[in-house]
Amino acid sequence: MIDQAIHIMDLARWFVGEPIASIQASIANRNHPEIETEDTAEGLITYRNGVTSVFFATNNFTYNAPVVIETQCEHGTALLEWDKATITYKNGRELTVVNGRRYQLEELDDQVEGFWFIQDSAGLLVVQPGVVKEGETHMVEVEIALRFPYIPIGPGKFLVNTTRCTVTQVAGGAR
Amino acid sequence: MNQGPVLGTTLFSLTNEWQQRLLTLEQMVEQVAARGLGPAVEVVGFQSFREFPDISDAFAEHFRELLARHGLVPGCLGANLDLGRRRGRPMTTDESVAYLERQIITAKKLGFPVMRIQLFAGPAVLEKVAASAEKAEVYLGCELHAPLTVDHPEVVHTREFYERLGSPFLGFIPDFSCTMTAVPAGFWASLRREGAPEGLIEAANAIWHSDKSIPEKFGALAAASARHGASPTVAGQLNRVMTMFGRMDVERWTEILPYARHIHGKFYHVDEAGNEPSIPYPAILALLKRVGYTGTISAEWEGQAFTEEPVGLREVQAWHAMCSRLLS
Repeated sequence: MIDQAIHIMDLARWFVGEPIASIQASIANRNHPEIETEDTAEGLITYRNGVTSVFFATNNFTYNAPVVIETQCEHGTALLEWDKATITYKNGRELTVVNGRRYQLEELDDQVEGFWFIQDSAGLLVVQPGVVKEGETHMVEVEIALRFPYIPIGPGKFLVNTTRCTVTQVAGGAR
Repeated sequence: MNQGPVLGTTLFSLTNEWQQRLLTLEQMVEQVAARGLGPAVEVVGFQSFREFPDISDAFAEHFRELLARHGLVPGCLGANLDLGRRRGRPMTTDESVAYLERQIITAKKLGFPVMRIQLFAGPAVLEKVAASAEKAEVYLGCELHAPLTVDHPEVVHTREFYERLGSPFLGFIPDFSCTMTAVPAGFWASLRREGAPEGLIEAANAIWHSDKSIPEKFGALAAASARHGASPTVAGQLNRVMTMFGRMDVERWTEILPYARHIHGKFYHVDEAGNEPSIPYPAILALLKRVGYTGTISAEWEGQAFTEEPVGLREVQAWHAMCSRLLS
């Protein structure tokens, strides 16, 4: 128990950025027939800045469930599941998914050290609470301008190819 | 012993197969070997190597062993000088040098004797990377691709710089796109699919064949597009007729070949009679034989610019048959 969950709790503490003030928790071997120590722990942690978090950890579950940290913040929710992070803003701005990470469109400008491999897919997530509702069918038009950084066509200017496509998509559930 | 050019294949020719995940890197190499499309293998780093521009020791060993197992040899690594990586400003000279040096290290690790770079690197960058290239014994070749010609001011400037520096590790990589005799039929077919009217295609073809200057031709193309009411997509695509296909005389390659150790055997289609209708391979290969060129030539099928059909292997195979016939 301590061997495994400790790293996730450490990461959660790092997200909060403050030392722990108090803990109410319980640990026990509730169901594991083979190990001699506890198999499950759950509790409430209060940090010095007033942030509270709940945790649950068990190594006696029906499948290899993902490590999940969910953070509820002023402007949105951050969800970490295995190595996949999802950030959903309350104002419903669009998020782009590249290399297993999500970016706001305007964040992509700075990603000059990252490379998007030709065989990898990128997803475009359109989040518009109240406008796009689950189960509705919407037409989504996407325009991608690809700048060729190795084909200069003038001082400081580079070749740009623009592609447009339109897809009809049923909206998924809110996340 | 045959002292002619050494043929090979760039995996770039298999872009459609690769992009559509029909073949893995290992399967592409296997196919190149099985179909006799070697021995020299060229790879565009960013396209084929997930770790590029840096490469782990483990991957380098895997790649070298992969080629060796199939009786193939590394030919050329396609490197990139991504000058326009940032939206706001081009890379500085120091950034460019550092970016290329990373790729020289990678070329060395993978065993490539030649690395392709872009001509616009220019003497300031080339002078600084020359030492790294010499140390790694990786020959850097600036690609001469349409619309460049051997008498383009930048090419002349670079040649003069090469002569001044005298490094045996700097040169050019000629690409046959500079010396074409017709616009590939596949290009016109792609424009028709975009809705280009026949009259516009005829006008553009006539402009391409004319002896006007490049800026005059761009002007004439824009006027033709406007006259025929071409969509923005068609008008944009039409400009490629000037940037992708050059009309330089084949004999002009003679001046550049002393600086070449590797060549891009650009082609768009080899027809049923075994000929490339838009590029004069008989004249080009006769010239290479005449001047005693013994470097490598990659089959570089660029038909994927107009079609998503996964026909790269078939086209490359036809190219090899054509070149072997013309060189024998």
